[in-house]
Amino acid sequence: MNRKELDAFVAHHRLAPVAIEASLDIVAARPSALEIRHFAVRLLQLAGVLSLAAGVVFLIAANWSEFGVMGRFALVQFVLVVSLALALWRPPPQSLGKYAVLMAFISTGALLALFGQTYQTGADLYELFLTWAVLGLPFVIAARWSVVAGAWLVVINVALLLFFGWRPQGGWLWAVFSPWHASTTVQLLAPAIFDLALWTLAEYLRRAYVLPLAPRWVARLALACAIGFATWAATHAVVQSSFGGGESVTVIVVLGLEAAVALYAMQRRDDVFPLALIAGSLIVISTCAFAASTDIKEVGLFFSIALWLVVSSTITGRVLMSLVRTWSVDEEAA
Amino acid sequence: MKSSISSVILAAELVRAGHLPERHDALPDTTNDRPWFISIVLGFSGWLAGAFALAFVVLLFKPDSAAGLSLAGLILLGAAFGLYAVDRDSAFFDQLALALSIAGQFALAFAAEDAADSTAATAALVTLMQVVLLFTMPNELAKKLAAFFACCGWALTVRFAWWGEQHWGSTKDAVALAPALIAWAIVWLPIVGAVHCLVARESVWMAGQLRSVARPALTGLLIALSVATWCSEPFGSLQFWDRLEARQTNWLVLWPLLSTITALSAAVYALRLRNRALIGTAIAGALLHVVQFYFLLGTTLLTKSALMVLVGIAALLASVWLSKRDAPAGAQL
Repeated sequence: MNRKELDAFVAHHRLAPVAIEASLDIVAARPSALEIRHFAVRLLQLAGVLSLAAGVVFLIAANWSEFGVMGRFALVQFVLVVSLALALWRPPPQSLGKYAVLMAFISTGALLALFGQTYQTGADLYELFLTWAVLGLPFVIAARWSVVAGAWLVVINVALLLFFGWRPQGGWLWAVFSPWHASTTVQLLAPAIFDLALWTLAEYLRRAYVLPLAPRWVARLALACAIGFATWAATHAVVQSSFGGGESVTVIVVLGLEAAVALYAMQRRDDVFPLALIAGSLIVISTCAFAASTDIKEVGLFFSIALWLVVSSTITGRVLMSLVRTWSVDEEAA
Repeated sequence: MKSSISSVILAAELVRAGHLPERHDALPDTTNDRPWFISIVLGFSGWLAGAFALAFVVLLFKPDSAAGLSLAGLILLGAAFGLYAVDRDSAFFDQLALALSIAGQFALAFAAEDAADSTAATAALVTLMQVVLLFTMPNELAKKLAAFFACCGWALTVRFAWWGEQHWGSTKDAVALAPALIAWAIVWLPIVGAVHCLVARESVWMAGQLRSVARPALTGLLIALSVATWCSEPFGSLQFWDRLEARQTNWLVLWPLLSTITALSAAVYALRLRNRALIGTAIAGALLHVVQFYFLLGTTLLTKSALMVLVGIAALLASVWLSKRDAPAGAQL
């Protein structure tokens, strides 16, 4: 029982505080002091390592003139080497090894930033994140820890966001996408499909019981990024003044991808999250399409959009909650 | 985090312990626990619908004074209250009520700004409005949102009252260390205290009518501890294109760093409630505050770097101390 069910139980039986205390203990609704301490220790360790890593990154970004180039490289490389040495000494899944690999992953990004800053490589910011993601991939595999996998996912998606959002003309992705004479709308499908592939991989690893690398939250993060890019592509298509072939293809592909994810979720019957993401995406796309295509004047338009949002979110809520109830009943029966 | 013990087993255990009579009504199945991601979809849609509803009302009735806006706001909030109160289980009316409520709140906020002509007073009036909504709105999501926005409003009230209205780049103005720390403590320590009391005395308020306010208030306060400093810094964290160093030292830059600590404490309180979604929000909030700390102007990156290293060392030392500390077995914190 969770807190909401406990509240309903307490209200129904009009329990006194003593009985509530007993209820909280029976359903183990409160962690023991030991459990809280273990959690706090892990939280402080993670916060400590991330703070130290942030300190190194901030120092590089400060570009402190009193601190010579050699010194800066020596510092970041020292952190990287020590992290790797610690990871080899106490390899993951031991705590020290996991934190050391996380530190090594972040130090790699700092080292790349320092390289770009020192030698003025002219590389765009997205290239830094992309190179960081590529070089950091072995750390993700070595760590077998969802925190490093999640951090890698954020780094690669920042690279994709910077490239597809600002369209800098240079670097690896430019070399790949510039010969492809497709509109921005169509090209936005690429990061969506890439993230969807990552989600598929994460789901596969989860099913194959490689849980430390890809637990549910990592798979959800990948899917959220995929649906985010897909929604961006579709809304970009529907708000164009000239809705041509490329835009039609984009909308069809996005709807097809979302339908495929929905079918998979309906088949698995164990997580409503993908359906909630798709519902949110469809609400955004349909609202933008309605606003862009209608001839209704301002007052009526605002009223119609408000009403549409209320109606569509109501239907979404009802359908999703009915699935939550049905699937949880199925799960309990199983 | 959901215990596998059902209400039937719990009732049987309470009967055995003498807390419940043997003959009692079984709890009807009213499973309506909405997962956090569905709440986000519905909440976001409701918010957006509220903004469009307000635009519709403003264009239709053209209220051009504080009194007109107040009247529109009160009518919208009254309609929202009525819908919530009349049909509490209808998803459609819940969403419509949320949209009307948001539109009404915007209208009253604009009216407050028009009447007060001061950002601090506007923020204070919005905070007061959110507190009233927390206690009066007969809907859990509306209460959670009210608790969260009350905290954001409170943070802005203290800030604007002390240092005046914020303009673009105003974080380059000088603010001494002591006032910055005192103001942060005035904003956040009462909220931490409220969360602590609510968690510690959970079994007391669960027994009474206060439960309908305390539960959503606790959720809203925990979300506020996790992300509200980031949300209530309207302009500072958006200056990522401005790479100029601070002209003068502004110690308000420490607020996000201090709020990282409150976000981590929110994670611990969320664990005590066994709420995974709130733990995730708190950890994400802590990371967002570090990013905000990087971008905020006020001191040099070198100082920020040194502070982060100190915080890192302190956190690691605290973890070592905590892991070695003996705790009474099985005791509740």
